[in-house]
Amino acid sequence: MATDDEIVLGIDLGTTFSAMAHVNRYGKPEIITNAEGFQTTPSVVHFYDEDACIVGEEAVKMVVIDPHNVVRFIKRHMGEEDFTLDFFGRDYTPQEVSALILRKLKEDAEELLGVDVNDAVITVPAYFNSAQRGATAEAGQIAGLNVLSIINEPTAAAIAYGLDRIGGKRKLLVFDLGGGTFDVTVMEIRGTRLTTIASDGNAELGGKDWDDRLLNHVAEQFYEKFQLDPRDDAAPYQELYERCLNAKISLSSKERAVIPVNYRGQRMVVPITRTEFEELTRDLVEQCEDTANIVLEKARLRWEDLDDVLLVGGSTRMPMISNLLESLAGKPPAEGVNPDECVALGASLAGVFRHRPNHPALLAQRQQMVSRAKEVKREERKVEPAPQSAPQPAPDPNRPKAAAIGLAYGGSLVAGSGSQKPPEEPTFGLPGVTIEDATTHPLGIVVLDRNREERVVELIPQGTRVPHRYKGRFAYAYENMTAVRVEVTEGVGERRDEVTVIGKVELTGLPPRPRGTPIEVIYSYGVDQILQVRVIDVETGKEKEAQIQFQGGMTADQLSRARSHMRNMNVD
Amino acid sequence: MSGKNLELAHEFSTLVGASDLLAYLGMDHTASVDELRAKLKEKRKYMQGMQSNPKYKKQALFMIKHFSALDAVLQTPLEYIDDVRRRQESEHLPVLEMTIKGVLKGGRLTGEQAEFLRHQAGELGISEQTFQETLDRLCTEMGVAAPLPELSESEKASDHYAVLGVNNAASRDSIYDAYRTAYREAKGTPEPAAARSRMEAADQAWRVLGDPRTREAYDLARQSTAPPATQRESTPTPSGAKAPTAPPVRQRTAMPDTVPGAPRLEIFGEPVRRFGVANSPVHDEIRLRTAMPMNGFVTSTAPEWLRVEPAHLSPTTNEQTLRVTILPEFEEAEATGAIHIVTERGDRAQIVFEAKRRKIRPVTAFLAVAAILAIGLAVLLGSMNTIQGGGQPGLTIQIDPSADDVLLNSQSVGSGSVVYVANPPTGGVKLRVSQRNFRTYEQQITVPADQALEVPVMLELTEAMDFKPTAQMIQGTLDQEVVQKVMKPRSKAMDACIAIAAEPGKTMSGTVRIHIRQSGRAQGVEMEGDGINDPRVRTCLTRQAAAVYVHPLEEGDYATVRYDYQVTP
Ligand SMILES: Nc1ncnc2c1ncn2[C@@H]1O[C@H](COP(=O)(O)OP(=O)(O)OP(=O)(O)O)[C@@H](O)[C@H]1O
Ligand SMILES: [Mg+2]
Repeated sequence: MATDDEIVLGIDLGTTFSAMAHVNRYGKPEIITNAEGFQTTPSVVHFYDEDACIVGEEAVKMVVIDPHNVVRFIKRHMGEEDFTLDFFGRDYTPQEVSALILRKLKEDAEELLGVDVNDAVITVPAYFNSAQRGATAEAGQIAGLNVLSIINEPTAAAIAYGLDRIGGKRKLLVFDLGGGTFDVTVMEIRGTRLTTIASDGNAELGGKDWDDRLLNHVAEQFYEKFQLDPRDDAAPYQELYERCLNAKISLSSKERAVIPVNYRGQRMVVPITRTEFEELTRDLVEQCEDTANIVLEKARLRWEDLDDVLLVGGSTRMPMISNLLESLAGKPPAEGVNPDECVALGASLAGVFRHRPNHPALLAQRQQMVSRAKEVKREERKVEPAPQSAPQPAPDPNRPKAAAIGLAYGGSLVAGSGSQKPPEEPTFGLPGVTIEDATTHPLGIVVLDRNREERVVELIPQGTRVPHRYKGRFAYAYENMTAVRVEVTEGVGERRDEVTVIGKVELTGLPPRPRGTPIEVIYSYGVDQILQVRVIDVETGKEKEAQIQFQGGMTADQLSRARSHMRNMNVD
Repeated sequence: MSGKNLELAHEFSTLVGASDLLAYLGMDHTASVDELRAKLKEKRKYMQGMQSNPKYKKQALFMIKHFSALDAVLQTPLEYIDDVRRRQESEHLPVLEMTIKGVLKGGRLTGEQAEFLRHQAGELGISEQTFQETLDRLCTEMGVAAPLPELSESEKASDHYAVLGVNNAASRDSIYDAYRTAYREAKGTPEPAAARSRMEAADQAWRVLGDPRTREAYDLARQSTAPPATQRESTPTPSGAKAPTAPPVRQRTAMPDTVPGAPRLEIFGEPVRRFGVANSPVHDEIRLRTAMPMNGFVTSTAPEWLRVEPAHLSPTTNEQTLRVTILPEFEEAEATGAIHIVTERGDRAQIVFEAKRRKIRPVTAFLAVAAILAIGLAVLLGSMNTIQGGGQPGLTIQIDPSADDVLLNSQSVGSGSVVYVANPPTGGVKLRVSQRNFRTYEQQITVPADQALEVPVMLELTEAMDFKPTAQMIQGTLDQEVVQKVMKPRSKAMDACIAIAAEPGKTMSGTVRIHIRQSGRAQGVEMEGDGINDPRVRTCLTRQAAAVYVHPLEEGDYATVRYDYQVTP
């Protein structure tokens, strides 16, 4: 059993970059730098031998030299069946590749902190389905981590951002555009409760798509001039990709950039302005806008109703994105949030809230709150109205309540380098936060309808706040059945092949009875996104209960074999 | 090998724009299975480095995900190559079938007609092998004696078994292996001229022996030119060695002549039989007698509902009984089918079955015709001079005075279709073309005597064209609501396809019909109306149609989804 202050590593396993954080004993979340000294680690793996690979910055450098042995963007394939990559005669699943990234993070953290790290909370895009979540958990297991929970990236970001704003009632939109995935989530902070109201996204839209647009544009120009296409060869393609990526990033701060192309002895310099780039990617931005509007609609809110807009993910640094959000919301996005770090920070906080209820900082905070409450009461009696002078400078005069409870610890949560040093004047205390997520995919059951045709019935709709319990009655479809099978589905659709069956529960040994004999089915969906299914035969009281966890597609046997292989693998 | 793997291999070839996997790998038929698989593996590794490359992403991911399927396909290359050929030809096959059926309606097949059909097959890009398969099948179905394929002199002359170094009883697979080896060895011959001629010889040997029917014709031809049997028996082939000029495997039993005038095949009972069919099958028997025990085939022209057992005559008895089952599976209220019996002597008999049923399915004959119209239309006439296209478009062509052989051979019924007049009457003909919604026109053609003639049909839309959307969206047994639901999200995309060819301000209208197959996916698409002649529009619409999916149909059901468009850009 973990002790109350044993580290929970919060990991943001990103498509392009990964980051990790932990909550220090003062209750302050901190980014843990990697062995190279950076806050983020590229999610890139280079295999250079049967049992050796490099993860991170060094692997990125190998991409031009040895393109066929470098893996990038593996997150886009998490949870995909049949997807394996072959390196030196061994097939690697996406879980295994991700595990190598996680192992590097784990080992770097252990080195920096000087303690063993076992427990972790890993984040995934809110829009990930259960196979993708399952695969992420499996990756953690293969890496030798004890994955306490898988939480949604926007939730994590909101925790990190909202921690010093709790106490009031605020509506928050988290817009997360990363390297490979896109999520929009509307949340509500109410007291110490953080609730997901609505969420939507696209697990296949991210900075990479912007890169590709630029790359295609440049390649086409080059082709027009020389009838040669640099995308046709692996190494020149990778080289050009790097250049386009750099150009994209510099267009976020500059008006123009140039992209030199050098392929088969031909040279060309392609100039590009920010306006041109925006033109090339206009429809991608429109997709983002549509999704954001859809989420607001789902939440039954208007842009004016939002208190804050939070930008998360490196791609929100592009002016076209921040401008879009500013014009939609009618006010500038929230400041003081580092889009690269807040997810990992939030994950580490969630780890403490959920899995370390007796963390010293939480205890201290509880005590402080009790005494402060007394103090406030005393002051209220003396002066009216409520005091404006909070113990800490209020970040916003409109938030007196937040000021009263929220700012228990010093300093900003984020701010890259600032978060590295321990607070000068440590203030103990971390307020407990309750996290209420919502389902992003509907859960259902396969039944036979009146015509005895298979149909999928939705039991827990998308956007249902978790934890949630569904209880319903079903019946024998045929006479004299002696067993019933409940097939749990995920996804939108009425036909079995439109959804995914994520688990089965069978209740057997039933006495034969007529058609219509009632059977009760209970779905309980917990905070850690684990579904408990109970099937009860009403007449006899016989029942069967089973836990349906995310399955990433690997069996226990495969996992343990992968783990032992990974243990022997050299990760630099 | 599973059909799914072949399907995937086909999908992949389409994706990478190669005619087949071998071409994609830069290899040909001479490569061994191991070489092909090694090359595929190499390609996969290469594609791993391309999976984030936007230009190659799709194929790279396909390769990574379906590698094992592609690998499995390459393990039986002969089967794969046959599959590729069939796929390439399947599009035009219905046209050929219609043409052949038209010819066979005359009840016989002359060598000249067979040649003509072979020519047609060639024009349609259909291989000799498939042509033969199709011709044989249809001949059996329609009870016409199928001539064996004609071999050229050079094909007959050389000893193909010896060229490939195989026994004349060798299986097709081992012949293929031998061909590959022989071709490779030939290719390696140092002297170029010799190499070429050896390669050609190997190719020819495979062409002849690879197809069961030409192989049979070859075997027969060799047999008749081979020395008498007694002589052959005196020079037995040493066991284990390859037989250079061995007799063909399939010996035909010699038939003593029967008493002249006596019927050689006799059927007892009515030649035409009528049955009322309710919901369960009805049984009947055919008793027959042959002049002596002999082999023979028994086939049904409508195997969906008219079944007969056994499919062969028993060669041990001259009196036998065939069991007939009539299933209530025919689509219309009435159906007519026939059972053909053909003996190895070429005697034939036909028993006609007429089945009638009360329960009427909501079906019209339209579908059957429409499916053919989707691809092309071809009917050969005997002595009649009217071609009925049937179905909605109702293309009618009249030739005056009547010509002996008239064929409409077209890619689609529209402008550019070609009427083929094989035996035009001397002095010229008058062609009258009419089709609903198109202007009827007449054309006078003078033809030099005894010369075949191809006349293009030029169709022009009339102003009175009326393609207004109808309430009847669908024909068949599908639920209206389902179709509405399926088509609604697609209609925008389909309109966009049509808009490709649009001129500003002009309203484009027409109809797209999508035939749904049992699996619920589209089987064929048929289009008519404005913009359809533009190949970009066709491609775009076909792609949209291919994506249509309704739920799988029940056996015996069918559906045609109809989409009436009206686009004003
Ligand atoms: N200044 C910048 N301008 C434009 N794009 C940027 C900038 N900085 C980073 N990016 C882009 O942001 C993306 C990386 O963002 P981030 O690290 O948040 O994503 P991730 O967490 O790896 O991915 P995901 O959350 O989708 O799994 C990359 O595509 C990168 O090119
Ligand atoms: Mg991210």
